[in-house]
Amino acid sequence: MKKDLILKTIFRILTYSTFLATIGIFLVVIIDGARYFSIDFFIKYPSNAMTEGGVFPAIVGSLILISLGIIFSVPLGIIMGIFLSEYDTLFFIKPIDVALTSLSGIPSIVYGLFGLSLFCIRMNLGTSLISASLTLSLMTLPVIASSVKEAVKAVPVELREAAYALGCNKTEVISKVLLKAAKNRIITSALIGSGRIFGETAPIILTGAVFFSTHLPKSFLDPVMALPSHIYYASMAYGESAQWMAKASSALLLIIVLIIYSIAFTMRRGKIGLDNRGK
Amino acid sequence: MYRELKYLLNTITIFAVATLSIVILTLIFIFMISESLPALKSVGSEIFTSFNWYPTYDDAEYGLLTMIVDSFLLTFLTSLVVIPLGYIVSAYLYAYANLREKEIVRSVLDLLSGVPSVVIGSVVLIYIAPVLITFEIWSTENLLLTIIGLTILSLPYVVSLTYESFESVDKVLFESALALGSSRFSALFIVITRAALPGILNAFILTVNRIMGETMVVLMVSGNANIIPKSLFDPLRTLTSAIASEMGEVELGSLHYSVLFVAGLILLIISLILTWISKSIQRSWKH
Repeated sequence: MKKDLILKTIFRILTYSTFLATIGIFLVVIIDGARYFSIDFFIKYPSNAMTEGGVFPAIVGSLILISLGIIFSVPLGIIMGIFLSEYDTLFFIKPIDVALTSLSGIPSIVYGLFGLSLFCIRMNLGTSLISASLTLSLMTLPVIASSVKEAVKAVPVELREAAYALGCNKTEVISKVLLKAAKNRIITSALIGSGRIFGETAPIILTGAVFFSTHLPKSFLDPVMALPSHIYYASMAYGESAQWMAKASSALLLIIVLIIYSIAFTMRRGKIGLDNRGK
Repeated sequence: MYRELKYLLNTITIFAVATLSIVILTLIFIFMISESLPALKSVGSEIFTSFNWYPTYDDAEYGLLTMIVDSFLLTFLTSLVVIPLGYIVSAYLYAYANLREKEIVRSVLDLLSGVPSVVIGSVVLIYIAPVLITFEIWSTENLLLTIIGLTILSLPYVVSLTYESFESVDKVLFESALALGSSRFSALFIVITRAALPGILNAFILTVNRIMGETMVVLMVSGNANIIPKSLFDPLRTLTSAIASEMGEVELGSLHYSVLFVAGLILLIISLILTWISKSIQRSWKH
């Protein structure tokens, strides 16, 4: 048993150091970045080669990107998830399932290239808000669909049977029973999907993000500034004097994403899961 | 009548949306191939056999081989770190940790999985890279830092997938092994790991896929130099970072543009192969 004790100690040390390193990263980014927060940082445009001013257009740009992305991807993702869960006896479920799994494994940069060639060039939308958000929503679609599938599958079969026994047809069971019973977990999926949209960088630098813009996008065809791409440009393209901007923006992005994910995980883990089904 | 009409419309909508996934996948294929064709036709096999990448010279050369090698090398080295580490952490959580440790460590790792890669890139660049200068290492953007960044990025992924595959094994197996007098380590390593093997392999493959396709961390900390690194402190460049860094500057429709799509096509094919392997492991497990 002595060997077991030694192994346990080694495993524990490794786990604890991973844990502490993670907490360390969160704390360093947030504390070191939040020092630079000021009112100007949130309401001003960057000026003087990214060394002064704030990230107002990037915050607004990211919020618009995320909202547009959700509008496209959440409804489609929910319907796809329902299909995978409720029509799984059909013969062509398999190709659809395989296609969706393949889509979820494709690297984000490939989605970027696809968005660039389809939306920006072929559909002539250019480097724009709409190209970027369409690309982002294509990327998150499989993520949302597969977690909605799990959510709907988890609804007890008795609920379905009860609804059928009362004379509901299939789509009524879906819209009136299953969607309501799985509501919380579906919201969780949508939140996780939007958290991913918010931080994704590679596809938007190919399809719609610019490193500097003097105005907010006036139409869907305007390019935008976004928070993640701003971090990339501020930490790579400019020198030491712009580093505070990268630190502060990273802290802001991290805080926003952590909030989104905390809500999502609390909803998934907490007692608000399947307990209030049927309400 | 109204009810039947609604039923019909809803069913049609659901089916139409569901086939969308096949449509999207097909479209991705068509566009990636059609944009790569000009390069594949006029440059030919040089793309895959030449180490030279001088796309902007008069006598341009378009060899992707250096980047292909770098991509595989980086993926291999990172997996070598992250997969054993992830296995150990999930083993500790499964076999030794008490309930509270499990809760806390897993929640924190779940949150880490949500951190955008650009933030991890800037953490490595701003906070970890300067440490190297104190050791007199000339390049602050190198292979070692890239491996560190990718490890942070993919560790939560490995842990949660591996842990879930441990959990999917009936707990009775673990307890009966303990009751027969085996140590916790051998119960986990011999009994549980064997029972959960397909799930664990699947976790590893998905992780490899993820590392292969990662762009931002690599773009920010790898140094973006088109060489094959000879030591941990040399810079490198992968297919993903080449696309991201050069796409902004190329002329649309040029040969350079098309070669970058070939790089994307390679990534697409690798990811599909890995997905296919992961699917067939799952399938063979079911029978």
